[in-house]
Amino acid sequence: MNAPAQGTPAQRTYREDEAVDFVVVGSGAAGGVLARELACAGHGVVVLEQGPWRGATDFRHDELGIHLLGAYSGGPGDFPQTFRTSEREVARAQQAIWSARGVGGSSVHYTANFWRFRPVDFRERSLLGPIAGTGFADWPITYEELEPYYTKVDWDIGVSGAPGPFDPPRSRPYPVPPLPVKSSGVLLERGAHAVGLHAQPAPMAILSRPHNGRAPCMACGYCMGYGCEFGAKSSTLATMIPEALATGRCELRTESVVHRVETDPAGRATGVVYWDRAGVERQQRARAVVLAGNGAETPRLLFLSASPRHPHGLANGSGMVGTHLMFNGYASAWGAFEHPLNEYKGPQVTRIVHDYYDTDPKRGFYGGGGIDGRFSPGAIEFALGGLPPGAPTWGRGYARAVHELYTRTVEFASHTTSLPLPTNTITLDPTLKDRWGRPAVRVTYTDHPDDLQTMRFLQARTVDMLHAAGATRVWTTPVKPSEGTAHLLGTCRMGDDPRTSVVDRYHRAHEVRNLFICDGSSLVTSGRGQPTMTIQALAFRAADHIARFARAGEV
Amino acid sequence: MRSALPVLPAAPAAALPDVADDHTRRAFLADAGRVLAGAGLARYVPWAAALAACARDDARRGAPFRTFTAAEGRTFRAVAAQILPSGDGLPGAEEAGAAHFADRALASFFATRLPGTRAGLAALDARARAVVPNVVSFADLDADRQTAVLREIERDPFFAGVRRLVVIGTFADPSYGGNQGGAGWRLLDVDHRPMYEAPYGWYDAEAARDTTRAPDHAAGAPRPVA
Repeated sequence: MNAPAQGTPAQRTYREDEAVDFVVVGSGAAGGVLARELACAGHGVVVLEQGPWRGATDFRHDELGIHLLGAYSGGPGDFPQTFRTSEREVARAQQAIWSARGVGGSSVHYTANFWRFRPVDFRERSLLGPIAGTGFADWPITYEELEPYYTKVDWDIGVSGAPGPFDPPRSRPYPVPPLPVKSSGVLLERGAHAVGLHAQPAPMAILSRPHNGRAPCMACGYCMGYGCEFGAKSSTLATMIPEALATGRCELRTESVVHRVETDPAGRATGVVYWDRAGVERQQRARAVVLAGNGAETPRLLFLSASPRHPHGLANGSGMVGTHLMFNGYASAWGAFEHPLNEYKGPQVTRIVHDYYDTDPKRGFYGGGGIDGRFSPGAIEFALGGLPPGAPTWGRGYARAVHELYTRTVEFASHTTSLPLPTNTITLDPTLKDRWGRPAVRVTYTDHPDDLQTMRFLQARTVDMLHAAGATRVWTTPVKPSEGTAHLLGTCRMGDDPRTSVVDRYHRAHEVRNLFICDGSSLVTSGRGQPTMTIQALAFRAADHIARFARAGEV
Repeated sequence: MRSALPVLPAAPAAALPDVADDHTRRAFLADAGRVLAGAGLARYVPWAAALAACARDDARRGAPFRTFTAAEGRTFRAVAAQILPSGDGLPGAEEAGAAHFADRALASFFATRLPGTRAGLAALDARARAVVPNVVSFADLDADRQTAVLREIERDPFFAGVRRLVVIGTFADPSYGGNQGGAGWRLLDVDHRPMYEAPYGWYDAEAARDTTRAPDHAAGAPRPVA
């Protein structure tokens, strides 16, 4: 058995050869919630996390080490990837996925934009009709079914915010008010108002006031891509995991790399096989297996768990595993202003504009999105590639431009829909291996033309808003086909029909009764670019149903 | 244009670690850098930062280079001062110690870039000698000639690589040996602190004074669940 890693709180331990109630693979946004909810419901839980435990002293204000050298994300050794735009190409080694490896997963380093999906997201296919060549579909659940769990995320995870003019219905107010508005937010409001749009406080999974015994944001500015040393960002490392361990029914094993879900001849899952910190192969037996590795690692694990009974990968009789990958679109417009904004202080986002959330058939293409005011580059990134086109790249003029613009530039970012395409996939690379000898994740992705149109449409709106807000200079990052993402959605989609989906409405794999999958892969459509709130609401809901099945002996 | 690099004061003795300790750390840094580079892991090791931090105390502008030869270091410094020059009361790459950052980075997490950087610096010195036959180094050229020579190579991968090292060395956390004394923060106009309080910038400060601006909670009332 692994000794608990340094920094891990005291916890219960389980034997590997006796079946624990649930083994949860992944401790991120979804896995952390599932572990806490299942343990609180009285079940024994073992969580296997491939990355390490990190504490406050690991969360440095260090753009080089964390952004450029990938201290949290792993590199080509830990997480090699290949990318291609279609199955006609041979994929080349290229980082296409930005995710954190460690307890809390990517909820540790995310930006913490926590938009709820809206009722329309769950039934857009019915409202708009089919879109040729896509897997555009309604969800098997509604916003109303998910609403109590969104509220649970607000309160148990900790979301700051205030209602906005286009918000979906909510059963309870936000637990804490919005974070203090930044200059980016003030300028977004100003620009939006001037062109007839509506800005509202951004819902953020960052505390503005103490909540659940946690400290509020200290506005250090190292938020997007960094871990929060104050625990004010509502990662599962700061929220769910400590509560799961405190039940005395949950064991968390870090640096434990799961590479196979075992099944018996009857087709039931019996546990998982993993390598521990020392590289020793181990097996954890379990009555049920819950996968929460998100939209790349989860399908890879299912492919690697193929058996004579499941020749194309576990739970993949439909051939749907790994398909319908959705990245979400992103488009940036930049504005320079007369006075300093000092966007390097505080969290990324304090105001959003949701006037273009819905698809408008009059635009002639599918898609919608949200806009926020922010400044995403760090100092190094900005100095290397963030200056306006035509700015000097070295010499006196360069130094002057960096000095004047780093504090005076704002980014209006558009976050947009991605259509679910059967040809956009996560598969196993046929040649590249990771350092454990597993096939690397191969990403195949081409934006649907409507996705690119949506990005361009919203980017043009943000250009108008920047001018209206009084920018002295406005420029854009050209919209190009996406070659990577931090959002890994749709690859084990949820649905009622086992021929077109991987899990049912309760996240139970159609083909394996005691296998549950709940993470970004469950999403049927992409939402408007901020999926984690919905992933966590799904996880709370899934845990409720899984615990109900367990009580009824139906697992 | 500044015509020559400033003469650097020698680091005060008290700022340097004792010789034995320094030697041990150098050996450790060099060995670790080689091992990591050999395993292809150099860029992806979380403790690379800690490793680099070992070098912080002795990464002083006056300290000798460890990876660069003295001649390479001198050339690199001159290029760095051209890429991000000081002036208008603001520091540049020289004051930030970007060359000393590069000296350490090229021995550890950027080790794969050392051969190309080294070859490029030698080629740059050769180019300088072709311009002014009696000089030894690019650093011996006057500032205008340095600028002119760099204009000739500004589209080369070598220049892009050095620019990258200079920018990172100027603005990265000081624990890596550059951004000395917060020179990079001053160049960025950043008030570098571990935490801040609102208002953060001019526009939110202005908004906070505006009593006619609607408060956040007026943005809309909660709608009941249908």
